[in-house]
Amino acid sequence: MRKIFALLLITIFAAGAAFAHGGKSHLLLGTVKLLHENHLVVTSTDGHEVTVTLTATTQYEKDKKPAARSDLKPGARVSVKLTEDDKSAVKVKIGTVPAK
Amino acid sequence: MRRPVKLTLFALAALALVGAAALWRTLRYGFSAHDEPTRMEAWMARAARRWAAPADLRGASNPLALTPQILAEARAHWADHCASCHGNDGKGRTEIGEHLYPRAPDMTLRTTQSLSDGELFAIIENGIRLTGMPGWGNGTAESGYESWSLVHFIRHLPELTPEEIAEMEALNPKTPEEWEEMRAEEEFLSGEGRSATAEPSADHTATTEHRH
Repeated sequence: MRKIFALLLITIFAAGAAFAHGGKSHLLLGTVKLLHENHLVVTSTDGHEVTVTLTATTQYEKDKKPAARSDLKPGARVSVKLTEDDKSAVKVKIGTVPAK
Repeated sequence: MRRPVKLTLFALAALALVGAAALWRTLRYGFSAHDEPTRMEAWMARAARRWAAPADLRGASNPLALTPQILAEARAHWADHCASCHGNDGKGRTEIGEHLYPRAPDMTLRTTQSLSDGELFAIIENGIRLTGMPGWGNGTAESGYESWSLVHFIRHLPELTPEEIAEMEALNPKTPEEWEEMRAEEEFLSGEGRSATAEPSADHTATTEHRH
């Protein structure tokens, strides 16, 4: 009886089928090179161009206060917290824009 | 044979068949915390969570009056002790929370908010078996005060402001690497440190080849 109960428990706890790989979100430091409707191109500190998708849930911050998508300007230094797949921005912190 | 008996036997046979298929799959492929809990598991876990609260706490209301000071203390406590799994906003979208089995819940939703104050208190104090939720209480008045304060904060989660979240981020536990990353980030954003080499373009509509 105990074995049957154990098997029943295992059955219940094992019937899920979905599988997803985990990972760690990453931080991208760089300068905004291009700004598009739904994404931005950042030149990272090591010189690579990285395209990041901006979604409806992307948060913006400037001077430690909530900011908006409109505060992003080409040339601005940004720190972008990326999703696990490195494609979308979870949070964009906007820093200084060099004077022209 | 009478019809109700036949139907019962048929239902039992179907159930046994589904059980056998699930058991075969389990023995063949094993199981992991990456899987999503089945509806049956979720139902059982929620039922067990309700039963886990002592009867005298199930309908209890928070004995602590809500004050700005209590909320501030609970916010700081949450940022330090709870946010690693639950996130500052209580939505469970953290590296640990998203990989627990079951996942850390979105506590702004009804499944959590519909629990009574006493049930929330019991969960904080005693934890939940077979999940990642530890029991934080030790039976002292101090522990009780902290847990009831956290109940107030859990009720506040749906209305948490970005300013509060920013304040909590400074209080979240960090590894030496994370402190270093934070320092480098602040230095970079303030205009110090390394800069990118390419000249920025003001062409908002330009297209370019880039890495996806």
